[in-house]
Amino acid sequence: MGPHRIFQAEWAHRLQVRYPWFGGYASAPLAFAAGRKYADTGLTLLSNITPLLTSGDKSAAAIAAQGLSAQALFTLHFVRRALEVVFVNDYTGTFARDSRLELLYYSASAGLEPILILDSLLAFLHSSP
Amino acid sequence: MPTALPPSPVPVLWGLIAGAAAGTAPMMKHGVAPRLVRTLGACLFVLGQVGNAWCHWELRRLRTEKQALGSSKYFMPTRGPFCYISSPHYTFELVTWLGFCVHNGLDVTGALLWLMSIGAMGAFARDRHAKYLALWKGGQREGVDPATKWIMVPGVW
Repeated sequence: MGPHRIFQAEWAHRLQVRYPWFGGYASAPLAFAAGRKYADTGLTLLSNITPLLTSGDKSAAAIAAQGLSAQALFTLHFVRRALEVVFVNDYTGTFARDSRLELLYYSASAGLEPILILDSLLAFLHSSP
Repeated sequence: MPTALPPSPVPVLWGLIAGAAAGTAPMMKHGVAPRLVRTLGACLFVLGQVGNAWCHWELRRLRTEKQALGSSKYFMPTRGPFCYISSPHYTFELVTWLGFCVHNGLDVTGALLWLMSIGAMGAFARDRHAKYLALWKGGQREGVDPATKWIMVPGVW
C-alpha cells in the first residue's frame, strides 16, 4: 500500500483510481455536442481548412447525415470506453500512482474543464466563416 | 502533481475539437465527404471498435484466470493479435481514429486526432512492450518472444 492511498476500503480505492478515466470518457460525448453546437454557426482554424475528400454536396440532408454519423461514432467509442472502465478494465497498474493532490487535481479539472476548455479553445481557434 | 498525463481532460478536449468540425458551418463551406468515403471510414471505425473491445475482454479473461488460480504472476496475453503485436488494443484504437478521419473526408481535425492518439498511446505501448521484454528475459516464457512482436503499428513500429 503506497503512502498516498486515501481510501483503505478496496471498493473506494478502485473508484478513486477509475474516476478520472470514467469522468473523461463520459464527458467526451457532451464535449462533442458542445463543439458541434458551436460549429453550427462558427468555424475554427482547423475546421476552416478544406478536407482532402469532399463531394461538394452542401445540402441540409447531407450535412445533417455527416454531422450525426460523426457524433454517433464518437459517442459510441467513448460510451463503450466509459462502460469498460467500470465493467471490464482493472487499472491496478495505476494503483500506486494516485495521491491526495492528484485526487484534488482531477476533481477540480472535472468541474472546470468543460467551461475553461470550451471557452479558451474556441476563443483561441475562432475565425470568421 | 500527478506523475502521468491526467486522462480526465484529454477526451474532453478531443470532443471539443472533433465536434467543432462536425457542425453546419464547416460543411456549408467545404461540402460533405463522398458517401463511399464516409461508409469506408465508418467501417474502419467499427472494425477498430470491435478489435479494441475484443482485446480489452481478452485482458479481462486473463485477469480472471489469474485470480482463479490465485497467482500473483503477470500473465502475458498471447492470443489473437497479441501473437503479433504487444499492444493491439492501441493498434485498433488507431484504426478507430483513422476511420474517423476517413469518415470526415480526411480533414485536418481528424488527422490531428489520429496523431494525438499515436502520441498518447505510443508512450503506453512502449512501456508495455518493455515490461513484456523484461518478463521474458526474467524467464517467463509464454507464447511468442516479445522481441519478435511489433510494439503498436505492424510493419512500422
